[in-house]
Amino acid sequence: MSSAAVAAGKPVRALGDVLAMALDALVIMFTRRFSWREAVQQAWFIARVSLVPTLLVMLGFTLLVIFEVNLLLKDLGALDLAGGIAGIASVQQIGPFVTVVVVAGAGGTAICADLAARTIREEIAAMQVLGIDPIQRLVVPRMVAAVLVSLVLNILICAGGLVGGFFFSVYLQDVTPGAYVASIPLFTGIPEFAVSMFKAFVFGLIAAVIACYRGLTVSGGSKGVGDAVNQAVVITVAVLVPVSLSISLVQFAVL
Amino acid sequence: MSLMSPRLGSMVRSSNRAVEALGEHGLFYARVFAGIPRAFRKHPGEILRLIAELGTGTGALALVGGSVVIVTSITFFAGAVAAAQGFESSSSIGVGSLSPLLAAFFTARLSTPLLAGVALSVTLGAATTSQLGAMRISEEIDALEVMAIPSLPYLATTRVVAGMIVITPLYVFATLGGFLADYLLLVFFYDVGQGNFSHYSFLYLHPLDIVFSYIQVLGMVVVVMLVHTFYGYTAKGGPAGVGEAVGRSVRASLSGVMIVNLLIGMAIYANFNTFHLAG
Repeated sequence: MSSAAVAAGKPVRALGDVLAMALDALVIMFTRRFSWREAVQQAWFIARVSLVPTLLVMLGFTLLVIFEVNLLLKDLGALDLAGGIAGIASVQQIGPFVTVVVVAGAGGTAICADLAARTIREEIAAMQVLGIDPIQRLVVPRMVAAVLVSLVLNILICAGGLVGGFFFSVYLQDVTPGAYVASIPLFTGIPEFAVSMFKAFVFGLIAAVIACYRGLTVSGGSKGVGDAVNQAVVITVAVLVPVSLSISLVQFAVL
Repeated sequence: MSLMSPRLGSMVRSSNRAVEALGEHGLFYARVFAGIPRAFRKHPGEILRLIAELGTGTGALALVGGSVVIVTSITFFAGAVAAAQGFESSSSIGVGSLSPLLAAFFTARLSTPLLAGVALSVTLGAATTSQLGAMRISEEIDALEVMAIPSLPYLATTRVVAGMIVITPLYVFATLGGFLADYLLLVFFYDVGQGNFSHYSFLYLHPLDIVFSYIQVLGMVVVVMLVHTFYGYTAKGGPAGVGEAVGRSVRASLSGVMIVNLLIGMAIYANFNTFHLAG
């Protein structure tokens, strides 16, 4: 094969490998023993590294959006809709999106760095020699943990966005507190929240699968490990933004 | 120390470490800025090389077109989300034809700067950390010092400067991507008329908004490059340490970028709002 064909085939082969690993993990999750201890430890680990970035990113993202939208609403004379917009912003779009960024940027990088370090130190090969399947013992618990944490973080971000938006709008931009609270259900209800949770579920799963894959297939010393973590987070963010758009479009068409 | 209970002692020690880390960051950033004249005088070639490298990316990322393509595609899809959500929400209160106005407003002021910040941190930033970290671990940075080349201006300052230069074309592509998505989605998917689209989006899109969002992105890229060069330059602990440094730097720069963006946004728009719908 010519070198161009090999280069073009590489991403396709990687995509196939990722899907194969995800499928393996899904089958193993339900057929073989599930390592609870590892899953709980990983969930705690991901939550610990993600919590502070989540709060800061949420503050930056949600408050800026609410601030800008309130400027728009003030000009339109519709400041009493501030709560409704805050609901759209934090529950429908920002909640899942910040969850992606944090789960990919904080949790995913930590998972990938951890697995890549083990692969480089040949611990994974040693596990396989001992007859332990790394997918069952390492990948499956991490997938479950990442999904669990991203669901929890999504709830935290939705609630935090609404509360932060309340203080921001009421105390800095003179929105009436009652109007803020009353207008939240205007655009956002249980179905929208359910879609938001579904998005967080999908994002957490994709982030974990990509991070685990890049971590386990690392090669080439310290430069390789750094590149693997870098690629894991780039690929995750680049994949998740279109996925988010697709879910939103389906949601608008159905709901 | 011996008089304190062990718990109190460890609390004092950990808060001491936090203050120490803060000082290390501050000192590093000050030295990066102090190295700017030297970087321009001694290493202009290195800056040019880094501009090319940061724009196109290295390794597998260059295969799909590098940072430019990745950042543009992320802001493209973010613009599409803003347009779709704007159309759906405004139609639900009966003003769907105003959606180009909302899309232009959100794309220029919110989705492009915010998403560009995230994209910069994960593409330019993380790649820088991984590169510098690998150099530190394989003792290339020490070798530079042995050859009497001050490594900080040569490696860190040049990268910060190159990041600030490369952001201009990157930002242009990112903004174009966002607006292209607005146009495609609203005109072809939601059947908002083409004339309607150009009327409303240019009626209220103040050119200054684009300048302001460029300032936001410029502020973010400085933070991204500073944080990521710091974590790469100070990486330790073998290959595993490089991976850890990349992870830690992404966490730190994501948080930093968002807070900087919020502060710049509030500083600009709180006193100088260019948006006047009601005249």
